[in-house]
Amino acid sequence: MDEAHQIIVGETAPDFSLPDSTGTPRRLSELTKHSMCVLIFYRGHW
Amino acid sequence: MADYAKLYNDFRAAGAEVAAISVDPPDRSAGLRKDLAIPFTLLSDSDRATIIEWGVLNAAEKGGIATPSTFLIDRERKVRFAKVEEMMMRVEPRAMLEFVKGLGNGTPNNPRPRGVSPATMFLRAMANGFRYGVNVKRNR
Repeated sequence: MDEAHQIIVGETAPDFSLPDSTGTPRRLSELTKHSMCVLIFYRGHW
Repeated sequence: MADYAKLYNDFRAAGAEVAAISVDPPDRSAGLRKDLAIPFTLLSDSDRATIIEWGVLNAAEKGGIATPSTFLIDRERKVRFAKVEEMMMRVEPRAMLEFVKGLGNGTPNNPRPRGVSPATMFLRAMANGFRYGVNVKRNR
């Protein structure tokens, strides 16, 4: 782990805009608009 | 990921969306989504900006990938759960071998020298194991 700061419980999560698998930009604030969101970071294929 | 795919409907029923982030480009995510029949959103953080901002960059592998981690974000965007996989804290096999060897001196198959109590043998084995572990770290 390089970064000193990790997101911890109680903080406001920083918003992001990232492309989904169709290339469409998606914001965290949209994902959490109607319900909570389980956000998983995974290693990926490559 | 496959487990989250299986449980996705349960998460929805419990009031949560699911989304997953990796450095994979969108076309790679599309392939994974199809292969594992993943019903939720896969997001591509190709430049690692979000992964770095969230403090989950594993810079040591493949030019930088996400450290497996799980967060729960509520509707006010407050973090309700956060768990980042920790580095493996496993005893080195060779250090374990040395420890076993040390204990072996006290077994019937390998009788201990006279006049040395089992407690002393144990402490000696512990000391050997510890010493060995210290040497391993120093050599890195």
